[in-house]
This record gives sequence, C-alpha cells and structure tokens, in this order.
Amino acid sequence: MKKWKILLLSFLIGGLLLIGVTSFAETKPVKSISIFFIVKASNSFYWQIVMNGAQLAAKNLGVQITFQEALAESDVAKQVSILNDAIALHPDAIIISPTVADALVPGIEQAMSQGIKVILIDSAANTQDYVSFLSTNNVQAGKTLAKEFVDLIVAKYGKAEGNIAYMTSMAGVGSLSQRDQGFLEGLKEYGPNLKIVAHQYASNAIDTATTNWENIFTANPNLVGVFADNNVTGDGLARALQLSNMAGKLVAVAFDNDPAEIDALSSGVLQALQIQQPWIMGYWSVFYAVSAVEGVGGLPKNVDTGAFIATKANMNTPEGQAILNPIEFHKNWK
Amino acid sequence: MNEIPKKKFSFQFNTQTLVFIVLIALWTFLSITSSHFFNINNIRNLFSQEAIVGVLAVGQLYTIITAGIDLSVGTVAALTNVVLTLLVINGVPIPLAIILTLLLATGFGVANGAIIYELNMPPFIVTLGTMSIAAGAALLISGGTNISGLPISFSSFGSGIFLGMPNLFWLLIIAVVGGEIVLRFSRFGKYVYAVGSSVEAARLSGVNVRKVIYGVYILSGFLAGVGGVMLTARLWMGVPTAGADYNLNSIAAAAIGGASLFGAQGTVIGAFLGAIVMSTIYNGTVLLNVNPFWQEIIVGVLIIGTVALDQIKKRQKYTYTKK
Amino acid sequence: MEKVLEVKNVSKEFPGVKALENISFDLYKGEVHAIVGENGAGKSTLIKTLTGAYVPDKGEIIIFGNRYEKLEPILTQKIGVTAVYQEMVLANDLNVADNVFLGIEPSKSGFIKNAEKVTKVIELMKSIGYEGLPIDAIVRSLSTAQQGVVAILRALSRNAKIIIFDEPTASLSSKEVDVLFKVIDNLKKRDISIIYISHRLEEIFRIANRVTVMKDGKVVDTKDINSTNVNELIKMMVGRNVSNDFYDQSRKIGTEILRCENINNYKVRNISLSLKSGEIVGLYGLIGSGRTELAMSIFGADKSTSGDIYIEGKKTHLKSPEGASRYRLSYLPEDRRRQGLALQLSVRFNINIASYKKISNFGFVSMKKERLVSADLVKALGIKTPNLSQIVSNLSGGTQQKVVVAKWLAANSKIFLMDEPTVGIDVGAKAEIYNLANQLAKSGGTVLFISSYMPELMGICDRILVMNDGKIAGEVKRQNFSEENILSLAIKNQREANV
Repeated sequence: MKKWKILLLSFLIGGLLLIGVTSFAETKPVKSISIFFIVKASNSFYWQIVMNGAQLAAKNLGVQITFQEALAESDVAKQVSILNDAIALHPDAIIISPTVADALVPGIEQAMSQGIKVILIDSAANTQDYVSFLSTNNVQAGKTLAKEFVDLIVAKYGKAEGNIAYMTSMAGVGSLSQRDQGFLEGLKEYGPNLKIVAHQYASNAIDTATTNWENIFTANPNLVGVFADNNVTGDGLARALQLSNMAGKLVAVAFDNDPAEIDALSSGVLQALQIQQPWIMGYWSVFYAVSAVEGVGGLPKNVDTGAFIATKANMNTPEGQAILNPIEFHKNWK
Repeated sequence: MNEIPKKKFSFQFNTQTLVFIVLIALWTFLSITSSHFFNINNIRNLFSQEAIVGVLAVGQLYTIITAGIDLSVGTVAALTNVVLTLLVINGVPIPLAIILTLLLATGFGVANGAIIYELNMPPFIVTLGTMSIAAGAALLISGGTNISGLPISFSSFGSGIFLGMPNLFWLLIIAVVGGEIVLRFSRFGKYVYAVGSSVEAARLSGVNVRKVIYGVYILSGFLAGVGGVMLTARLWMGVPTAGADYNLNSIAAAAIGGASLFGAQGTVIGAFLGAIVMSTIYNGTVLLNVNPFWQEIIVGVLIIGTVALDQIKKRQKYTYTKK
Repeated sequence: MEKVLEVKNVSKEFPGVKALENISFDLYKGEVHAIVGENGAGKSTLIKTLTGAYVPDKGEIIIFGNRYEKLEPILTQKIGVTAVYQEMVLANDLNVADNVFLGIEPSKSGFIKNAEKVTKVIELMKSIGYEGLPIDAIVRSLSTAQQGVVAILRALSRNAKIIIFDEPTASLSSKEVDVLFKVIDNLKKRDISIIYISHRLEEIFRIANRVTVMKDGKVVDTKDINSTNVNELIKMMVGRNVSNDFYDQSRKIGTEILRCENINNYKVRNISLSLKSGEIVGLYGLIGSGRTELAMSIFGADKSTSGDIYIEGKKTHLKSPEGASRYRLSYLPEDRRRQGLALQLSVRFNINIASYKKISNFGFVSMKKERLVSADLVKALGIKTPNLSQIVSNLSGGTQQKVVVAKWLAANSKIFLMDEPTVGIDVGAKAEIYNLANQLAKSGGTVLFISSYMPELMGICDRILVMNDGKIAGEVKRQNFSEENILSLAIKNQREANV
C-alpha cells in the first residue's frame, strides 16, 4: 500500500531528525522552543484533526505550541493579521496553512527574514521562502478520486458515459483548484465520455452548498455522478441528496471526512471519500519545525502526506479507521 | 368636501404590486428559458430555500419600520441551530429543546430592545454587537465544529411536504400571515409605523414608545429562533457558521419589498415577495447555468433597481399631487 | 455717510399674504441699524430677501453701489452679506477653528494647513476684541453666546461687510449679552455694518444708531435712536386696528376643568393657572419665555416637572403623555411636522393614532371604526384631503393642523393645549383654526392658546396670561386688552430677571 509506504518513510525521516535534534548539544534546548500554529479555520473537523496531530507531536517533543485560527476560512484579512501578530511575538517557528496563495506571502517572507522558521501545510503560498511544505498532492489526489469515480459509474451503469456535475467550495483557494484540476485531468484520462453539465461555487457555506446542489439536481435530472471538492460541499451534497430523495440514485464522491460525510458514506448517500491525512500532516509539521529550529539541514522542500480513498467497503478496516478516526486511532501514540 | 371615497388602496399595495410584477416577470422568463423551472419539485425547492430568510425577514421588517435594524438575526439563528442540536443530541426531549432555544433567541431580542431603548443607542451598533456575540457563542459552544447526530425526525421534517408544499414553507406562511395581520390590524402594528414615522410625534400622541421598541426586537429575536430551528431541520446538523448571509439577505428582502430604512414604510407581504425574488435569482442562475459569480451581481442590480423604481414612482406621485 | 446697502420699493407676496409691501430701507457704513416689529411684520422675509433666500417680486437692492434685482445665497456671501441666525447653523461636533473655516479651509494640494487656520482664527478674535474662545473646543460644548461668536467669526472669515443679526440675544443671559454687545461695538469700529433684529427694545437703545419699525409688511418709519423712545416704538409697532376679530360672544364660560398649582420644571417656575370650560385663554411670551415647556409639563411630557395638576377637580398623576388622553388632555405641538404628525402616513392613521385603544378589541383595531372616525372628523373639520389614505406630508400646513386637532377630537379630548397653532399657515386657514378653537370651547372644552402673535390672541381670547422668563408675569383680561399692556408685561424686567 502506497500510503503506508509514505507513512513509514515519514517515520524514518522523523526518527533521523530526532537523532539529529538530540545530537546538537549546543543548540537551543527543545523544551524552550515555541511554535505558532496558524490554521485556516476552527470550524472544520479537518483542522481539528490537524491540530490534534500537532498537539500530540508537541506533547511528545515537549515544545510549546500556540494555536491560532480565523473563525471562517473565507476570512483572509483575519489570517493576515494573525500572522503579523505571531511575527511580532517572535516564536521560533510558525506553521501556517495559507488561506490564499498571495496575501500571506509578505508575512511569510518577513518571518523568514527574522529567522523564524516557516513550515507551510496543506495549501501553498506563492513564494519559495519557506523551510518545508507539507501537503497532500491535491492534483494527484483529485486524479485518483476521478479514477475511483469513473470505476463507480462503470460499476453502476455499465459504461463511463453521461452527465456529471461538480462544486467548488470557494473560488481562489489553491488546494481546491488543484483538486478540481486533478479531478478534471483524471476524467479526461479515465472517463472522456463523461460530460460536465454544471459547475457551481458555495462560498464555503453548507446551506449555500445544499441549495446549489438541489438546484443542480433540478436543472439536470439525468446526472450519473457528482463530485464535491471539500467537506462543506460534501456535507451539502449529502444533505441535498437526502432532501431531493436522490440518495443512491447517482454516484456521489467528495473530498474530506467530517462526521456528516462519514455518516453519508456509511449510509450509502456518498460512495467514496478522498481523504487526506491531516493528522499525519499536523504531527509531522511540528517535527519539521523543531528540526529546522535546531538547524537540521537538508529538509525536503515539498512533502506529500498522502491521501486515501474510503469507501463503504474499506471504512471499517484498521487501515480505514486510522484515516477516518485518526484522533481515536492515534490516542496512545508515543 | 362632499364625498369621501370609501376605500382606496394605499401606496404600499402599489409597491408590493411592483415587486410582484418583477417576480412574475422573473418567473415567466425562467419558465421560458428553462424547462426545469416551472416544475413542482423545483418550486418546492425554491420555497424551502427561501423559507428561512423569509422568516428572518419578517422580524427584520418590523425593526426596519421603526427606523431600526436587526443585524443579529442570522447569527442568532446559527446559535439557535447549534444549541438545539447539542440539546437534542444530549437527550433533551425535542419539544423542550425547541422551547428552550426559542427562549434563548427571544432573550437576544430582549437584550437588543433594552440596550437600544434604555441606553438610547443606535440599533445598528447594538445589533452589530449582539451579532458578534451570538456568532462567538455559537462557535464557543460547538467547539468550532459542525455537530451531527440529530435524530432522523429532524431530517424528515426538513424534507417533508404538507399539502403539496414543503413543511418549512408552511412555517414561513404562518410567520408571514401572522406578521402581516399584526402589522396591519393590531394596535401594536399601528404604533410600529407611528414610531418609525416620528418617535416624538408618537410619544406626544400617547404611544408607549418603550413597548414598541422592545416589541419589535423581541419579535425579531423570536423569529430568528424559529429560523434557527428551521435551519436545524434543513441542514440536519448544527453549523456554527451558518447564517452569515442571512442578516444582509433579510434586509435586502425587506428593502426589495418596499421597506424604507428611514422607517414607517414596508409590509410583511412585500418582504415575503422580496425573499422569493432573491431565492428565484439564486435558483434561476443555477438552472440556466449562468456563471455563478453573476448571481451576486444580479442580486445587487435587482436591489437597487427595484428600490429605484419605487422611488421614481413615488416622486412622480408626489409632484403630481403637489402641483 | 456712505450707504453700503439700499433697498428700494421691494415687494414680496406669498399666496394670500403680502409679506413685504414697498419696503425701502438703507444701511450706512459702520452703523447698527435695528429693525423692530411684531411677529409676522415681515422682518424675516426682508432678511431672507437680503441674503438671497427669497426673490422679491418687485423693487431693487443696491449693495456697494451695485444694483441687484435678485440675489442668491452664494452671491450674497461673495459680496459680503451674512446672517447670523437665532439657531446658529454650526457643525456642532467640529471645533471652533474648523467651524470658522468650514468650506474655505486654507489648504495646499488638498491638505488643510492647520497652523495657518489657527493663526487666522486668533487674528479674527483679536479684531473683534474677544479672545476668550478656546479654539480647540467642540462647538457643542460652548455656551450659546460663544456659539454666536463662532458664527460671527465665520462671517468675518468670509470677509463679511454686512452682518445681519436675527434675535441674537433670545437665549442669552445678561452677562452674555454684554459680551455680544462688546463684539458688536468692535465690529462697528471695523466699519462693518450691522442689521440688528430684536424684540428687546431696550437693547436697541444700547447699541443701535437707527431703528426701523415694520408692521404688516410695511415700513412704518425709520428713526434716529436719539430722537425716539421705547414707548414711541411700541406704539408704532402695534398702532393698528385688530381686523381679525374672531371673538365668539356666544361661548358660555362654565366650571373649572384644569387647574395647575406651582408647576416647576427645568425652565418654568411656580406656575399656577386655571382654565374653565368654554374658555379660550391666551398664553403670550417672547421666544424662550417657557411657554412650550409649561405646556409639556401639563401634558406629562416633561420628566423634570413638579407641582400639582387637577383635572375636573381630580388630581392627576401624569408621568408620560401615554395617560394624557385618559384625562382628555391634548397637546398640539409647535413643530407639528416633527412632533404632531406621522408625516409619511395617511390621514386616517394620523387621526386615529392617539385613540387606537378606543377602537380596538384584544389588541386588534376595528378597521371599520378607524375609517368611520376619520371620515367623520374629516367632514366635521373640513379637512381638505382627496381621500383618507392621503399621506399627510402632502397636505398644506393648515390642513395638517386640522389633522392634529382631529387626532385629539378622536381621542375625545376636552382640554386643548395649542402651541403656536397658526405658525406657517396662510391667512384663510388661520381663520379656520380660530373658528375651530371657538367650537372646541363652545362644546364644553377649554383651550390654552399659545402664541407670539399678539393680534390673534387679542382676537379670540377671554384673557391672556403673559409669560416672562419662566414665570407668569401677569394676566390681562379682555376688557384691558392692548398690545402695550401685554408687551410691557412680556418684556418688563428682562435684564433684572436674568441677573
């Protein structure tokens, strides 16, 4: 399994780093390292998992970690000001997931120029001035989900043909564009006869997503499949399928894994979830940050933390559980 | 003066007529351009999508007629949604949970009214504050995450149909009919207009201004609570950030329907029609596969356009009677 | 002496009123020329003509040798004519310097040169001999007199050569008046010409060089101040027959309905009065004498009120106007557009607003009764409206006033406190209001008629109470009615009272 290889590899790198950390006696004691951890928004399960991973890593390493986030993912200005506040406090490292690719660049570069180690997670920023970028390769994840999507359509209808629709949660968000891009690339490759008849946005709000999905179903009564590119559009998709009595009547796949999506997966409303490994991302971002502060050289610039496709069939395996319920699964990790 | 004409429709009826014409035009246009528009399922969808904003717009309208505003309706609805979800998940019987959350929402109304009247503060500022408080409380109580796990009965109520129309729509109809009757025929309704026209004239005519101010904000808070319960049924989960758009959408609905932010003008029916117009646009742009970014632009143009038409019409009437 | 301003044969007519008739008037350089006359004599119209707010129908105005047939506000400012009004038109939340240079800020490429602004204000203050003004102070925090000085400074900053003062001392204490007069003296020395309008005749003798008396839109005479006296001026002001006699002999004066004992509030002191059924009692007084404040207290609309009010022998406990209608007490406010009417709403609504309690069951209004009540009153009072749904802001002033009366009739009122009920109403409609007051009294009610227009009070009242500085200075019975009697009570001891 590819994902497990990545995980193992990560362990190996991490172990090496730890050795590196402990072998430099004259560097800063690990216990006094302070890290600012700035995620996009607090109101999503995804970020709760990332933060849980980071929390456990910080606890295991004994470093101080401070979490900060805007209330809503769409609040770019707020994240910029949080980053500026963080820089003013001059921590040893900042781990940040940029809400948009450009707005955070000045802050990131300023932090690096002041010797604060910046680790990017989840979404990229338009700069090369950072230590490491840990993310799901979203393009790749979108592509593999497209393959699964096409397979599911073939399994249901016998052929990869017909109308499909997709929804982008919010315009201008790097990771979402990449997912969409990968998904569209994958469609071209695996199901060139599937025709996209509707594409909507949802301003990252579940109620808007629900409404728009309902309207898409009305406008396009013969859809064979639909794709939602994050948990908000995924929740909205599941809800709209229920409200329109369409559950199970077409192939529905989504990104992410918040409880409503997992519910929908287990009850057959959604057929597949492409799940990133946020827990791993959070956990390892702290390791990378500490390594960078301690002066470990040669940290990889880009790290793919992997993705996993959950279906009703694999969701209850231990492998599935590690991904679907990472907090529970990793509770006793040392 | 020999003859006093017995009855003549007031200009407010005309404003509603105007919105109604806009609505008919929109519906006609969409029926022609999209074969899916005038279809029972789509109309049901449209009405249940409209229902929550519509209910909030009723309360909003009352505050606007007093020349006030309630910016807190959307986040109070979200808070209601989160609290109701948590109560039910933690085993509180559903009817009791609904009553408790409606009380909470009404409490926000009491607070708005009290601060506005007793401290003589501008409603815009006060409700901006309570808006933020309710938003923060929703996030705090929910721990910032969406809460799922509600019993299926909520979901089925949210998608349920009664007499051919969605349950949520019937709740809106109750709010609209009740709201219109009170506004038009009750003493309280008359006083709401009087206060909106001139607080001083109302006071010197023996109107208890305090009761009116408290009354409209309490009503608005209560209806925000009802909206929150409806939101819970529609989303089938607690979403602390839901409802962010509802504040401005409810104001827009009232404004499209002929309410003046300067007070003393507007009707519940108008706000109801305004809310349908807005839902129709959101619905129609998706049906026609219009670039989604145009939605907002069209709504903006429509708000300005409808209100401008109304103003032009009034001005003509004014100069006509003046000369 | 050089004439800076000359008004020649100016006439101005409004529908039904000749506001100015063949007015001629002149002003010398560096003099204070006072204009006196009763309310409605045409003083304000004349000023508005001079500042360009009104265009005269006939005649011409010559300023600094230039002839104008009509003026415009911007033009008059440019040639140096500025009016300092009774209610100062200042930006209350800006500071002194900001106000003085509002609109003409010394600036460079869009940025205001603050230092220069401050220096200029100090210079201006020196030039008028008044340096006690804190330049940084917010105007709202200043006394009325200081605000007046700001207005003067503003006029000077625009190079005003002619300044018109309209009742500048109406709300000033005697100390403040002294300050203002010192400033005016200094203005005179700087060759600035002043038109000074005041009710307070003795003031005029302190600062004016000449005085012009106006009456009924005409100039009675212009006198050198040294060749006249207060009594002569009063005689000239009022010397006419009261043509509008609306006194109704058939009214029967009955029992006492309203009695006030020792009413005090933030403005009035120890007022006692009594009104009987069938009676119309006038309440005269200069602006600022406390008439409105007294009415508000009786009506329960003033929280600072103490004293006892008895209605039909029973002591009332009115804490807000809400209960007033229960005592059949009503108040017609002076500012009827703002305080008396819900302007954007219908005639029907406005007539019923004070009596919805009467026509509703379980909180719901009977639409039928609402319509009938308003239709009856529209008919009874001859309210000229196309229909009951007419928005009242579209009605004429007189019709609006009738709507206010109808509102209180609908509420079954018996005691009518009418505060300047004929202000802004044309002559024909005034007569209707007087007749209405007579009817109200005749049908067993009582009217307290507050007015600063003496002829109308003398025309309809049984007696006139005269207020002076928050107190009732005296009562004049109908047989003793004369404008001299009333006016002397109203302006007597103004100075002493203020000290």
